[in-house]
Amino acid sequence: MALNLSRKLALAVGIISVGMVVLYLSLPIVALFLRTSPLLFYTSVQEQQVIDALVLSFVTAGIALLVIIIVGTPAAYFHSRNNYHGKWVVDILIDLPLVLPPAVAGLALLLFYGRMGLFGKYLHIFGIDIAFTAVAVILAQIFVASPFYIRNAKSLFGQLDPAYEQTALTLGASPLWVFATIALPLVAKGLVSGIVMTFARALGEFGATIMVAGNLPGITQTMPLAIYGAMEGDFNVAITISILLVLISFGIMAVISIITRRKGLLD
Amino acid sequence: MIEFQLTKRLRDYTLSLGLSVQGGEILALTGKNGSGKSTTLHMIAGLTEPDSGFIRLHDRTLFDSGKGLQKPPEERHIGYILQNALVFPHMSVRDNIVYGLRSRRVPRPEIDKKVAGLVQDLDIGHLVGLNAGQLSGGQKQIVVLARALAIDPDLLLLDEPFRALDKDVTQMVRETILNEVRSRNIPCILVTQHMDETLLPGCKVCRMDEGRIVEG
Repeated sequence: MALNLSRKLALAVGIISVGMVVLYLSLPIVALFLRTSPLLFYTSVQEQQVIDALVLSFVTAGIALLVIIIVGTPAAYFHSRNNYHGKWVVDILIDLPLVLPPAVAGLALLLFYGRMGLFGKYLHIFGIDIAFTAVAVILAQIFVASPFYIRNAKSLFGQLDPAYEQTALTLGASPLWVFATIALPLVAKGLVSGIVMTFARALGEFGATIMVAGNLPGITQTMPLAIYGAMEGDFNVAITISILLVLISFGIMAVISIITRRKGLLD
Repeated sequence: MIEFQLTKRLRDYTLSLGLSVQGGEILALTGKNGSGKSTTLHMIAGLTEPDSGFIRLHDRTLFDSGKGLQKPPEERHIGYILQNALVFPHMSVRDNIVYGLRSRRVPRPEIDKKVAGLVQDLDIGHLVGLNAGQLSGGQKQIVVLARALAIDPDLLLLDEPFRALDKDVTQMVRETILNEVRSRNIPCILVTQHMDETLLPGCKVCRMDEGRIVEG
């Protein structure tokens, strides 16, 4: 009887806690949808500011993702396959943007790429200014989103049995050829979830971007920045873009869920 | 002929051994786990650098600590079959077999001729079109052997080739190895934890313990 009561209590605590999590995560999102109507949403979504922000967000996040993949994949491979002095420091650096407040990242980027910055002042001599341009948006996205890809890639390469690559080397393949034909294809499926998460993080980037790129409509105003801008202007635009981002984020998480549920796909 | 004299400081002991193996001859290195057998093969293949010594294969020097010479594994021309018969699971059996030839940029007609010969010699025509990941343990062992032989190696290194194979498959793999080593007249070094004297008739056996030859 006592055991029965204890089980009932555990069940009740479980149900209540899951219910609370579902409520505090879903109710604010429901509130977003309740503040608009299909007609209002349809009208707002056609506004130039929304279209510009949407296009800029996808283009900059796409370029940032491409740069992260091109640079991050060989870096993750080299890092996981070699021991070198200061490896632990590199490990911390790779993870640092995950815990660093985005405002700090933005300020740091500004002090490096800005007109008077450590690197930016030399570019300025040649008439090149990065801060407050779309390039600055991309750099901010790369900075904050790269850990999502590199951490995943590092872990996948680390789990790969080195005997595959060793065998390929003894067969006469060069290390670069081994990377391209053995290591990369064997982890390729696992890289997909990292790619999707990285794109999502780049798309939602706000704090670092506003510090280093400003909030210039049509130039540096991505979707999160457009929401911030519209809070003092057309509130419907803010709601519309927010709903778009909720739908995109939900879609991204659904894709990851489908991928990870397919047995063996991430092996 | 392969001839080597190697020293390597390992965690618990210093590995130190010198041996030579003639063409067509099989040397079996036996001994308990951690006695330095696989490390010896790794050093010969160029995957681990010895502290000192030399490795000479026919008229080529692969390693010489005195001259500071260390050829990378891709230039050693050694067929090395590592433990667990690792096929490349994302490729077909044919792509596995031709991997070394493609890496060496061998012309297509020559690759086709080589594959046809190996398929006939090893009787694996029924496997060529399959995905390598689908093969059984014995089939994988034959495919990795074909892959290693495709590059016409000057030396064959085998690490536990009979592990996890049942009796019939072991017999088949054993005969294939014996035939290929003898017909190609290449030296072969085989590592196995438990040497059955009848497994490879006529082969030289050396037992290792803590990095040294203690018998044979």
